[in-house]
Amino acid sequence: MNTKMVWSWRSVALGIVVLFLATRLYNLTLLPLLGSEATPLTWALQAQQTRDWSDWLAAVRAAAQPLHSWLLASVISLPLDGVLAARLLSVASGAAALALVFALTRRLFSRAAALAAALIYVCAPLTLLHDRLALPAALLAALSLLVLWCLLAWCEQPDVWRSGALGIALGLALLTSTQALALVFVVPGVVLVWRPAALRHWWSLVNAFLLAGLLYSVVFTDPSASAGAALSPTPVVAVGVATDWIVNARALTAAIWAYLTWPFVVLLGGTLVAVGAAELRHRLATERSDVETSKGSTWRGIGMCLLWSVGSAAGVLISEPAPTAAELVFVVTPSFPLVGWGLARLITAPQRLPALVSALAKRVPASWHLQRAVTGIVLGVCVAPAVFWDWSLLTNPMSVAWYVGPEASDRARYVEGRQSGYGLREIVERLRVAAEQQQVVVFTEDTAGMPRDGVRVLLGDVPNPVLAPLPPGTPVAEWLVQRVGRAYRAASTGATLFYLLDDDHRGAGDRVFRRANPGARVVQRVVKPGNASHRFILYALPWQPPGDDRWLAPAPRFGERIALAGYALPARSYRAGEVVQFTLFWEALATPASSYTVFTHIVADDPAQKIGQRDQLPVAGNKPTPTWRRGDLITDSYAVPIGPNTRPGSYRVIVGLYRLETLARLPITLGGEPVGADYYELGKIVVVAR
Amino acid sequence: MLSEQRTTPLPTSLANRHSRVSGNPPSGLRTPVQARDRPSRSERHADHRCMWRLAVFLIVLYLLTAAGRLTSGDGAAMYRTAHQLVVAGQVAVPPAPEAPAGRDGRHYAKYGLGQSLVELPLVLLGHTLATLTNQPDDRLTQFWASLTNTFVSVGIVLVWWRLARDLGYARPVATAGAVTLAIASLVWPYARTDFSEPLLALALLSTAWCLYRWHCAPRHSWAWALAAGACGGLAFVTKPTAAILCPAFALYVALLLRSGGRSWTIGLRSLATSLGPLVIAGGFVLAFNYYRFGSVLDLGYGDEPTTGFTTPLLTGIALLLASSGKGLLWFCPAVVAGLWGWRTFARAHPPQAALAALLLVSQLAFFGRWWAWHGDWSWGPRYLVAMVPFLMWGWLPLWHQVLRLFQATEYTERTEFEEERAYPPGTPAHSVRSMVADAKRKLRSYLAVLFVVVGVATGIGVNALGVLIDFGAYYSVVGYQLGQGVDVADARTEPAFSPLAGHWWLLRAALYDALGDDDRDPLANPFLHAYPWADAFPDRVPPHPEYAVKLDLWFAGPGDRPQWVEFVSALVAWWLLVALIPAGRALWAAARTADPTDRLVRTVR
Repeated sequence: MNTKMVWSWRSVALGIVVLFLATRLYNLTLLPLLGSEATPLTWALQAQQTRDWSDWLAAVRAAAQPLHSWLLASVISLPLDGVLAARLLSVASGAAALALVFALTRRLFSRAAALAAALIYVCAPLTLLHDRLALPAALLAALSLLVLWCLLAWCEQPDVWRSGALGIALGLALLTSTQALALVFVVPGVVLVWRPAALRHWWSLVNAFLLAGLLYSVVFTDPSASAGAALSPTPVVAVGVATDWIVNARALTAAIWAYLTWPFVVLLGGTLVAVGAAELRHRLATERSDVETSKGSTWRGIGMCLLWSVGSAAGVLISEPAPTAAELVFVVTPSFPLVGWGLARLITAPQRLPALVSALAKRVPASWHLQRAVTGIVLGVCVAPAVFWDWSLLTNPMSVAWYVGPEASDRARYVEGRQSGYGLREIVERLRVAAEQQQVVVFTEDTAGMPRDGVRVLLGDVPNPVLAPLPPGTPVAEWLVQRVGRAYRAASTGATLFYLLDDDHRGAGDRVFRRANPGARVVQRVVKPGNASHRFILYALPWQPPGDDRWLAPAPRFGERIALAGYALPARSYRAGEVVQFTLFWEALATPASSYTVFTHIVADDPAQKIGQRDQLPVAGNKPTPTWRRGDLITDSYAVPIGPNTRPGSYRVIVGLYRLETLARLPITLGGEPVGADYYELGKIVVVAR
Repeated sequence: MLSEQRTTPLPTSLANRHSRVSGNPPSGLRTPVQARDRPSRSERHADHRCMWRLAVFLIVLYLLTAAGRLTSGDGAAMYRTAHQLVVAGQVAVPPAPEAPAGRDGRHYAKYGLGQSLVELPLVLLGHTLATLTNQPDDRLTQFWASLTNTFVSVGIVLVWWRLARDLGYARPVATAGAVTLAIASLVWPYARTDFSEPLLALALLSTAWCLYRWHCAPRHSWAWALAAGACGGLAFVTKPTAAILCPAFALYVALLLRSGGRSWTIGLRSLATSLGPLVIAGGFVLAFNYYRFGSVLDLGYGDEPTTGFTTPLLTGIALLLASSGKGLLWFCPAVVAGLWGWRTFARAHPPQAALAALLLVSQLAFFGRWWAWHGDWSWGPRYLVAMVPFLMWGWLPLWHQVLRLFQATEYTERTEFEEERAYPPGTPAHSVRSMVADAKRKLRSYLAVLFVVVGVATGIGVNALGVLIDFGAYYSVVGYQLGQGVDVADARTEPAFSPLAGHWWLLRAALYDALGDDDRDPLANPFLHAYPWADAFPDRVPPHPEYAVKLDLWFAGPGDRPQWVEFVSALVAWWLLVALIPAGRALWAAARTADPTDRLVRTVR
């Protein structure tokens, strides 16, 4: 190979890299935050502000895989806008996928095919879109290609290191999505296609699977999961609903047409037909040994790419009840080498045409420029539709020709519908201003994505906003009276209350909300782009806190991990035989190591003279202290009967915690200083004569 | 050619025959040193490889079928001792029926310290993991401690294999015999228990092996004598009742010295080094008794040693050997099948045969009189488990005879050559004699095949019942649920209540549950009320047999395990199951490797 050719392909490769960076980084935050981006970002925020290991497994509790949110947790700590940082992770994943596409294609076919495949990867709308969104699709595609790469290396030399690498890659893919489970079944098939002799080392493949399984087992380490419960997450297998598979397959095919554009599909189909015909002709015309040596490798490479794509598609169809276009990245990326090979063949074929015409006309050979011009025309025809699509996405996402299906469309998903984040930043800016003046409590609907997770992500840097999920049909005032959690604490200490609603263009949500909360006032309304789009509506809610709550500052601490944040003692005067009702607001400073029992005594000056007592586990045994997690506010109500023979007088209400096994009480400190007693006095009550 | 072949070691019985024909002294009995020539480097390498692969295969098998929990009160007491040693550096344990109060008011397990000491590494590992993972209790430590007998049992089989090789048996024969011992005898079910019998068996077998190596070594190596003493000491520390076996080993030493034709003085002088560990072990046991219970002879059994030998001797022996619920013949049918080879083995190796017989007689005489001859709750005759490896020696000639059938080119050639020297070809005597000899040989071989097939099949079948079903679960049905006079004692002698039948009943029910849907009602199991005494005792209806219906395997453990444990258990169990294939193939390849000094070099192809 001469120096000119080396420089030539290096220049092309450099150009592809530059094109990749330009298309991925330009206007990266132009598309607003999506609901499906916001949810993993909230898991990442939870992991970043970790209280214990279970915070790292928030994704698992939502039936998703955790690796993407773990990586997000590390990148959102960068000094960048959170959404931008999260999307940069996808860009990095895309870069890895691009490198793997190039390397795989070069290994399976040729350098020209590798360059063509890389170019297709950069230009394809599907990969461009998902490399620019903070979704796990790009990461999963990169890991899928990594598994394939490790598998090829293992086939060449099935030693312990390559088995380990394969197992780790497979385990990471499984930790990204359960769709990767399909790869476990495809792996033996690929070995059979690529190098059947390697199957003699099946035991080393089993060890790789074991390693992958052990890595995957991390998802079952949630300490808050109940022992003995069914394993979760388990992939949904839609066995027996073949009609659903057909519907899903048709939808995905339509999405392929929209996001890969017609030249890709034509190239893929044309390549397969051409290769099949050529191989058939070759096999008929030559000895088998010749076929094996000259074309066998190419044939096996094609078979392997197809098998990997088909296996991935089967995994998606079986494990996803309603697959979206994002799942296509995982399915389609392995076919890029194949399409790249077809494109490379197509580019070189027309070059021969001017040469043939020149020879027939007995003129001078076709010039180098003419050949390059023909190549450029072919290339332009192939990538032009994709380039137009890409340009729309990079400049004006609302004008993009999104995939529109019969049941769901990406225009609704990304621009007009509930999960679109258009306008959310303006709302959040308003909340941010309010939060600077006073603590705010923001209620949202309790559904994953928008607006619940979007607000949580965009308000992530504001100190102490309290976000509480609540269905729009629920009266907020009634809900607050139940005195549950931190929202109640904030509201009863004077925080401003907001409700953020995502409503459709008919205003159904607004009517439901106003019916339940007649005093609510619209503060801001932002309509998303489009004709029949959703809109965000921000309401301000009036609420008067009850007068009998008392919040303690500083709060007395019981031991190291429990504080009494406040209490409510509504009445102070009782008769003998009546019941004293009060509520304690416990705050968990950390998860207590042991189970503690709450004692509530009504005593005279001498604590030993009790006229009423009730000892029980917190919340009537429904929330024992080992289940508390840092930051939890536990509302714990008591009803203590006063003895019928109690003499009139003044008595004290004291509370504390002790371990049932040893009856040892937790020591109490106030502002770091011991109070000298093992109980805390809530206040005095008076027992009057009957 | 003959002189060349004579350097090849023969199983001693064959060597005797050879000497009768050829006039040369038998290679096996000429001198002990020559019983087996020093193997070549490649042969030693092949032996090591075979041993490693045998160990790996058995570890995989035993780990797959481990219980993963403490299976008995005795084992729990010994585990507590080990746990206390690790955690508190003391041997006092919490009060329990198996841990009476000692002289200082604290409670001590009434068992030898050997098992607890052997459990120490795994207890330490489990305790460290439990501490690191902040476990609320010591179940993780118990899991690891319960694997102790897995490794001890693998040790039994490996020592048995090594001794078989040293006695001159070919690698395929020794390996086949070892695998038979491992999976068709009581060694398998006891590998998953926490009793000290496997450790006692290992110590006794190691003592026998070390003494044999001492006997074979040039100038009676003191190192082997010391090792034999250490192994004997371990047996004594494990179970002080092992002291009753001393006469058997004394006679064994005498027979070894007699067969060697060497000076008794030199032999006994070198053997004196073995007394050191024995005395130390004996002194330790006595001092330990004094430390715990205030008397050197008090084992914690109270006055039982003086009042407990109440069973009539012959009754006890008969129960130990043939009772339906505890008899060795039923629970270890491989021993019965192996009797076919005992005559040959005894002729070839009189010291070993005498040792095995004396050990069995000693155990039967001692425990046959003991009131708790049954050693309940346990699987089969617990007190005879330590004898099983010795009784299985009969399988060596048996396997030798069977494997000869498959490929015995060299062996046949040599036999024919010997025959030709006595009866020259062409003579009528030669023809008739060879025909008769051939017919007898074939008949014996086919009978041996029959014994092997029946012995191995029944051995695996019977012991799989003990492996897959918890004996405690069945005894809890018989002992606690039935009432009306039916208790564990009936399960020992009444065939309808035999654990063999009971475990088969529970196994069918457990398999029905395990192979069905998860949400199937366990009370709808059709096998649930098909208990074996249904016809003989229709009025004895267990109220809740479903409590006992489950496979007693660690990965199918209790339902309250954390999700991670459940997932990883299933994963590792599958891996172990699949690992049996490459481990078995590797063992097969190593065991059939040709060895120029073996007789059956091409036995298995």
